Amino acid sequence: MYYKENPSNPPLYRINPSMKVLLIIILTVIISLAYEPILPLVLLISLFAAVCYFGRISPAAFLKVLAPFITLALGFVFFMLLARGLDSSGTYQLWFLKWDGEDLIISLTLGLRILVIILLSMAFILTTQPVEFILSLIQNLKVPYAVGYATLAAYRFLPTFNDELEKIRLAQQVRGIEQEKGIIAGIKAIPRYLLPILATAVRRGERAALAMDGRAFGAFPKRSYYKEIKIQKLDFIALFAVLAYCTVLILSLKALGILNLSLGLNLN
Amino acid sequence: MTDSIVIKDLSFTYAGEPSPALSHLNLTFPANKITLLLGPSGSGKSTLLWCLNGLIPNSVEGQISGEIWYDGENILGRPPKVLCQKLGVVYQDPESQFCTFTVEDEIVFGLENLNLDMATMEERLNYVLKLVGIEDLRSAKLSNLSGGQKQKVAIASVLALDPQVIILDEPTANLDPRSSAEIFDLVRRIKAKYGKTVIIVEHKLDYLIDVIDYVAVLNKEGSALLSGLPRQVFYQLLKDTRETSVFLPLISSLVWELGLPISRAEEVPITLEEGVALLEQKLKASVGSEVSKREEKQEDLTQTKLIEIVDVAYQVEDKEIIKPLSLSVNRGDFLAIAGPNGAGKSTLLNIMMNLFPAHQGQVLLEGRDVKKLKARQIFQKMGLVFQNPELQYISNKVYDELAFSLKDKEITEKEALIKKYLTLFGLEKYAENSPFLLSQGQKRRLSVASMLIAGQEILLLDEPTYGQDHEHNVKLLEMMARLNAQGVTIVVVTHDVDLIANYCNRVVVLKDGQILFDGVPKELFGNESLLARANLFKPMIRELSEKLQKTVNHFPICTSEAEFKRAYRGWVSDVL
Repeated sequence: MYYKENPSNPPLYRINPSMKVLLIIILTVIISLAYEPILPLVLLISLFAAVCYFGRISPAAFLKVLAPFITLALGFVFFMLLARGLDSSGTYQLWFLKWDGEDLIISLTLGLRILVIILLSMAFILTTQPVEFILSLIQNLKVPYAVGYATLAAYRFLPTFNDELEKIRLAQQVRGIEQEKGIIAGIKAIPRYLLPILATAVRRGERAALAMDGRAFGAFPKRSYYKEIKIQKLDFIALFAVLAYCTVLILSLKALGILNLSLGLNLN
Repeated sequence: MTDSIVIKDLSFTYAGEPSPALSHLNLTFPANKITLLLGPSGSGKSTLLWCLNGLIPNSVEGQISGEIWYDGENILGRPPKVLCQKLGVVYQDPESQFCTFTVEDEIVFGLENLNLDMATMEERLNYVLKLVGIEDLRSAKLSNLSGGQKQKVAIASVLALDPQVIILDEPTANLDPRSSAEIFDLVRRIKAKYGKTVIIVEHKLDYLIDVIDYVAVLNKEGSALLSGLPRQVFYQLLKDTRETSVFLPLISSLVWELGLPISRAEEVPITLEEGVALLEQKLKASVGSEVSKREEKQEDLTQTKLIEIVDVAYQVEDKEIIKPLSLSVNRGDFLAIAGPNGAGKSTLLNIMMNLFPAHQGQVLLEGRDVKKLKARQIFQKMGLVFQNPELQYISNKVYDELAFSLKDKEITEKEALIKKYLTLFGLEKYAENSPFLLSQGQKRRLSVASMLIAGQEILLLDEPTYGQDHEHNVKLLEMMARLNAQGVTIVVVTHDVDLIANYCNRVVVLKDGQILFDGVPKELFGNESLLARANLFKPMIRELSEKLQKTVNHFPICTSEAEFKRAYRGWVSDVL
């Protein structure tokens, strides 16, 4: 889907997927603590730059991937402003909507938080090979291998799913079913698609299970791995860098007096 | 060191089925030999293989009894994850047995499950890559491989587990002639190098017969009919005319049908060379006459064009799948579209049906532009049977499936038609069943029936023999021939050269979206360089008659079996 191999194998591609998950969790917790827009804003800009640099992704290409989600975040902020403008009184007014400073700050902070989380998720998806991610979950985070391989089996079917839908569409057109456009026609067509899709999916799942059985899957409680997904020096460097950067950032913003961290309790 | 597999009184009935798939089967697969397992479809060949590797009864439900002795123990009921180190199975469809994404990962998958250490995995991986001859594919993605390459990877993955017994279940059913030949070469290599025990189910006997040591035949009831040395088994089968659904080497049955005197098993010819030697002797004893030398009668020339493809081109993302080409399908044609994979054969069928509207040019159906016709109007005139018939089913009952094609008809007329077609296609017992639960042969018949029931005059088939067993193929093709004789025009995409030689009156060879050849099969199979370019082989009958002509002056070159029989009979009857 989004992941593409990069022949130069930049650092962001080489970080262990489980470590990437950990970094995302750390950063998400930190921005959730911030109650004013300044911290998420600085993080958004610096993380964008970092992902582009360490992932060798061109800023324009990255923006293009993010674009639909940015629209989504803006929409969210818009509705939030609308809701808040209806019920409260305030100093700022537009038509019948009224806000006070608090309203604006909260909405803006929320929008920026969403953007940071989206940026981190997309960076993960763009630079992480899905199979490696699952293997890392099994090998590094001790997820049971049966669960991991079941997920991989399902993932194997994804690319064929679209092909299959297209084939079914053609096959049914051959039988004289006109292809109507529009949402309602699309919904009406679902039951027609469901039967062949389910039939092939069930058969596939069964065969996949038999195939794995026939190759000694589950013969022993432990299995070995030809490709080991290790936690390396680079992973600790990344962890240290993120922690150090966040500490320095928070401390300096505090020193400048433009940051109040909260645990989300003093909302009003 | 190694042991034969001895099956004692084995019976198995699938859960919910009234009759057993295997019934009191007694059979021995000798150690270190290649055994060919034959039997009509539904005789329980696959069921037997599943019992051997433990999928039955561990993963498939049913009633089982009997014993399977191997390596000093009764292995019946042992789980597949244990048995797969002793007996490895390669199936028809390599796609369905893959568990990972790349060649390397796929081969080590089983080794990882056995918890082997890194050094051992590395050693076995390199070993099988070399043995199977796919070292260059080591880090390739499975999805980028051709069918033949995929099957080699599947074989390598099984060999990596180092089982003593290797079971191949129709390994070439989905492959083109060239890839099939490569798989057979691999089987030869495995036999020559290692004393493995091999069990193979395969219908393309003719290209493999020289390595077969032993033959076992099951009957329709799922018991052992015969087993023994190849010639002995084939001799018995030839003599026993009741057993007609087991496929014999082409040469054996041809010689038998031509009435050559064979009185002992040792005299049964099984290879091309043996056939040539035997027939040569017989033909030289006769003089031959003008009757057999005369050319085949010409097809009548009054042709009406049903489909006209005029200067049609088709692109996908700037890639020209079909380069501007023109072609017409005449009424009554049995036309084959052949050519290597990726030549644009299926695309051309889809263009004819207007499923892929041509980007340039016109497709005329009886003079009318298909782009201006409604899907239903096109459907009334022609039907298209896809590779996987299941995708075309819309309802959960065979009866409704046919009824769907007759939406506009009166109830009484509809019922009568459905009854007629159910009987015609041998589906009357299954009217109330779900089409998804039919056997593969029945599924294919149902989709053909649903494509013809509205009175369609043209039937397009996309690789109808793909993934089907030989017996179903022959039945399907016989039915196509009958329909064709009744006036249905047939266009079939295929690389099955026997199909082209025996059934088609015309063949179009496509390569890289261009027409390389359009003419009669006889002419195509005489053009060596064209065949090589199109990845096609000569039918065995053609090779046989060419070899005969070298030593028997004036013996005609024949392409189809019927033609050969006529020529031979004409030749020898002359002397009498």
